[in-house]
Amino acid sequence: MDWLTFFLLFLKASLLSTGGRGPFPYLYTDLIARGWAVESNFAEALTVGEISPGPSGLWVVSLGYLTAGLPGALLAALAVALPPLTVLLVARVHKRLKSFRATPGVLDGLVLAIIGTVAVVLARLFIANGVNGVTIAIAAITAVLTFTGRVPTWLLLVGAALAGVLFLS
Amino acid sequence: MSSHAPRTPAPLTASTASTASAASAAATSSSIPASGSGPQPSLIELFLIWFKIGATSFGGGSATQLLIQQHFVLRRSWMTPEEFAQTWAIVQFAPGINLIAITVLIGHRFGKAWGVVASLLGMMTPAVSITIAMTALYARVRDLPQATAALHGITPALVGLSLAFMWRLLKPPMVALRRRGVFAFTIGGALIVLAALLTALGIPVLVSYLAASVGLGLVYVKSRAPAVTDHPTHTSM
Repeated sequence: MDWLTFFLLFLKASLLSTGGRGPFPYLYTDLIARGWAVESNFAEALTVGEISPGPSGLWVVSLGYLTAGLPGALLAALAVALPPLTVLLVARVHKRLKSFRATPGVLDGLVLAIIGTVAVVLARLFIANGVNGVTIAIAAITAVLTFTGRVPTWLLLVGAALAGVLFLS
Repeated sequence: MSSHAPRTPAPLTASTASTASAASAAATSSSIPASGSGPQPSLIELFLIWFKIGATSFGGGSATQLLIQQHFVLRRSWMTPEEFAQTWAIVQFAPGINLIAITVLIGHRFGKAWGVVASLLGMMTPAVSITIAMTALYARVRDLPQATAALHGITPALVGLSLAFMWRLLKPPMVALRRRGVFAFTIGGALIVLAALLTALGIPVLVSYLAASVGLGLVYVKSRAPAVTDHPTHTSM
């Protein structure tokens, strides 16, 4: 394992994106291309991120563990902790930033790009996992229940796990 | 859910944009809210409060925002609601995880560099170690046939979950674009499709992110925003 490259890939993913899912497409393409991760690692890590406390963006720490053990997890944690430090710089210039007409456009554009890119990566994850009636039903039901916001995330994931054991083994 | 979660502002920051600009008008030279003359948390208190937030918050969306408000605004009044709203607005401009950025900014507000260290360590220690422990636990059972089957069920659920989150992320920028007219709205939609196409073709992710940021930045420079209220970007990311 080339630790420096490993760390820099995680750092890039966090620094050049925003939010919890923003780093996902970077890490998915970079780590799979190098053979350091497989598709299922991402589902595993994202799931841990959803059910463990703290920001769910810490799913990358779980990914670090799954791909490179404890040192990988700690490097990933460092890689997500560093970019937000730039907020101290942002706080100094934020009034000037806000005065530019382009600023909200740049931020919104990033969100739109994340949505488009993550959609493709999710599709790949879904296909690699196996497309059939059961998996399509699970995805659709979870999307609707999440959208209504009445069922807690952990319960949805437990239900899906049970459905997997019952119907997909 | 962290930052992909709905950015619906919590009650106290219901009008983040307007309160923030009011607060920045009130603040003198610095954009960081000036330290109040009232009581301040010590480094140990900072560490403990953020430890609690890191261990008990889930996701990072509006519920977490409320939790932070409770500790710093409602319970101790270390910050005014306006200060908090402005802090939250600034965080939206920073890269990476928003919850970590607000930890840094509030830590700095109360203890400069050491405040950042205490707050960040406090928030990250429980969250990171529980995440690692859960992953390690899972890694021990992942080879069981039941675990494999469970993961086959969880993966599509995760896809569904993420689709719903992304729909919530999508709404604020698209609403803002529609207010700028059909042209801006169409460009926004086209940029999503472009990002998806580029990724499907194996073009580096950075290219998609840059193209959409620059593209929409240009659209915002060219198109006139309706003069109703401030743009809701501060709450969209």
